[in-house]
Amino acid sequence: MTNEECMGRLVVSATHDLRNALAVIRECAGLSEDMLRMAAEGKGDVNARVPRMLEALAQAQAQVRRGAALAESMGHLANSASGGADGGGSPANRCDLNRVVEDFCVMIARRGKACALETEACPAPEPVMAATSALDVFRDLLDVFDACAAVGGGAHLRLAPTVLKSAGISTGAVACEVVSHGENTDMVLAALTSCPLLRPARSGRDSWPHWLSRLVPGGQEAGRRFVLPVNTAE
Amino acid sequence: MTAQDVKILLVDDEVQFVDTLSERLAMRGFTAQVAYDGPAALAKVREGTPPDVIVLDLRMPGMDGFEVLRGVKKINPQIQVIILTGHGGDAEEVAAFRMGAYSFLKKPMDIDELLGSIRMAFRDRLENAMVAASLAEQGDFASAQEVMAEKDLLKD
Repeated sequence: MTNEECMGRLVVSATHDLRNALAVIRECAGLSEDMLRMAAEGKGDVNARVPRMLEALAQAQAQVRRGAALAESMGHLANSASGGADGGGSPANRCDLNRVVEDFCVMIARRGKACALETEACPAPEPVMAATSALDVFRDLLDVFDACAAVGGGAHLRLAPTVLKSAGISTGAVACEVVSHGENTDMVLAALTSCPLLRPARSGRDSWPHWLSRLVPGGQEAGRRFVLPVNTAE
Repeated sequence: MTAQDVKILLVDDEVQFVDTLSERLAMRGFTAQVAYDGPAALAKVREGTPPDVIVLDLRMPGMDGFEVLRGVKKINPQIQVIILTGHGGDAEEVAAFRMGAYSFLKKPMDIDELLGSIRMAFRDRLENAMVAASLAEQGDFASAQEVMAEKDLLKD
């Protein structure tokens, strides 16, 4: 997948969600407007409509927060694509995996709904820095998402940034945990197990610890956990 | 034509949007049923009194809007379908029209724009029915059937 494809797909999903949020805001504001107009025209008691108007306005506020999160995520994506050239924050070759994972889950939510694939971000308490661009990580996460969607989705993926330490090397990584036990979970697990991103032999990185996609000890109740290596953390 | 004459079905998985829109339509005298997914929409088309006009979201989990559109046209080709979407590009718009959609609106849309489209769709449905009835009266049953028949150009 190219950077352009990755950006395009995330933006399509996010803008679809943004339009839906704007549609709810418009209808909620419109409903309040309709009720007040009717009251001004003497058609009905405005006081009786106040609870519904307050509810509609609260719904609108919630959608504003949803829209703001989407805009923030798309801004991060755009900034990572421009290499931070527009002064938006992160330099081109460094990113906080917590933020990337959160933004990825926000942007892909709509697409995930269509694929019956729920993604959940579980940020670490401290920033997890990776010496790579955010766009590279977005692309890898989208590959993992595609692997699960290609077999029919029907799973809940928990994405948790973490730092792995082995032989004195610290590595930023994203743990991908399949937490649901739906009827398609086994297919999703199989897809993740065979996903090329999760194999240790990535080109130019033979010195990395040889972790493989593996199950968390403790059996099924502990979830099914895979680790997506990103790059050397500092 | 009065608002009460038009039976509307709103189909969208964005529950708050479709519930609030149905409330606003009711305040304007229209009766609107709601369905939150494709299977529920098709069930409402098959059972009871079918709608005259469906306002349909394209991108829904499970059965998407294209599948619903195709299903509706198979059950009752006379039902007018207005596509409402937060996603569509030109290709989707063309595909929807070729499958028999009446019009295509992008979210967020103005309610008066939607109502204009609903009124025109309902009027055109009535006119088609009158043309078909007139042709049938003249004995031209083939032409009458063609006026009322399902048109799915994507099948060609």
